Amino acid sequence: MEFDNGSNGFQIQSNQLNEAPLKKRIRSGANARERDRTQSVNSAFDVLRAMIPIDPPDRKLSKIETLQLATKYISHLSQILTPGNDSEQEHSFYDVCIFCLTNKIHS
Amino acid sequence: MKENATRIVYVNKPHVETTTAAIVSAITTSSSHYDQSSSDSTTICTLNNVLPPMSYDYQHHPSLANLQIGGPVVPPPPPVYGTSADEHQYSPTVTGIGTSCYMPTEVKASSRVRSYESEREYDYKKSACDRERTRMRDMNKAFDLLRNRLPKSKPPGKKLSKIESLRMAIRYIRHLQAILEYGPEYETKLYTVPTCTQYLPPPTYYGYQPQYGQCWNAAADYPPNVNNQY
Repeated sequence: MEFDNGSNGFQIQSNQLNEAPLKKRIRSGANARERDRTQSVNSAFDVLRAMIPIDPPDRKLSKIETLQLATKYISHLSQILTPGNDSEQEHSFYDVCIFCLTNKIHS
Repeated sequence: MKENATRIVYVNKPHVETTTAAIVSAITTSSSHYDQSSSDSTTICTLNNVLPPMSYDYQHHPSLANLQIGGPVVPPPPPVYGTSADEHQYSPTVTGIGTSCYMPTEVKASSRVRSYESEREYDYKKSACDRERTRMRDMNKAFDLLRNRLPKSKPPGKKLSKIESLRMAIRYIRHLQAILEYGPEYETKLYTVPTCTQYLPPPTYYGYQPQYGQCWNAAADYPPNVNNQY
């Protein structure tokens, strides 16, 4: 775009006039993309939430809880599956594995 | 109810000179009940980018358009505190302090606004930002711990993104559960039938595409021998 070497005020005004709707379009496109991205993250959280055995089963875990419990659940499954793990738990007598307990209750 | 308390404070202050002061007093009197345990990143508007520069025209504050309903308590706008509809819109799902997410619509001279922003409000905002920051830091730490438990599926310098680590966790848990259920012979089927991928949409690995023919890049990354008793 070419402008006369007129006053700076005119130049700025013309620039703004031409850019404002473009900026709005860019922002609304970015908003929509961010919305979709957030939605995909949230639905992944939902799927992960559904896989973690929890008692009562309809309790909705928060995001941070699902992350922490998923970590613990993966450790638990790996521990069950590693050979040479005949002693079920190495915890003290009063500790109980929440996942084993949940699966026992809901089997 | 917290909501009513805010209203009462608001309405019963006939000596209030300006609406800003009323909002400030509403904020400070119904204070310190921010319910941290029910916070979820989907509903809270982050206060970091809400507070405009001092001389800004509040009427055109850009964040008002994106205000999340159902966040912390927001005091009703001054001219409409008789209207139930508007108040319902701003009634909280999280009991909390009236925030400065919503600014008065009347244009204020910057100097008048600055004088009404009390120390307490500034401290509140600061601590709310700190809380949000701490919350995000804890969540990122939890993501990192989850990543550590997952098999290595990225080139050495790279980290799984949040969405990638979630999807990989889903995949991995299904995989472990399948091994547990079907026994060790399931392992041998891995390289012919990639069953662990069939439930998911293709993961978006930006710039790094694992082959779908092989489920896992390295069998050594997870327990190789499955105990026969399961």
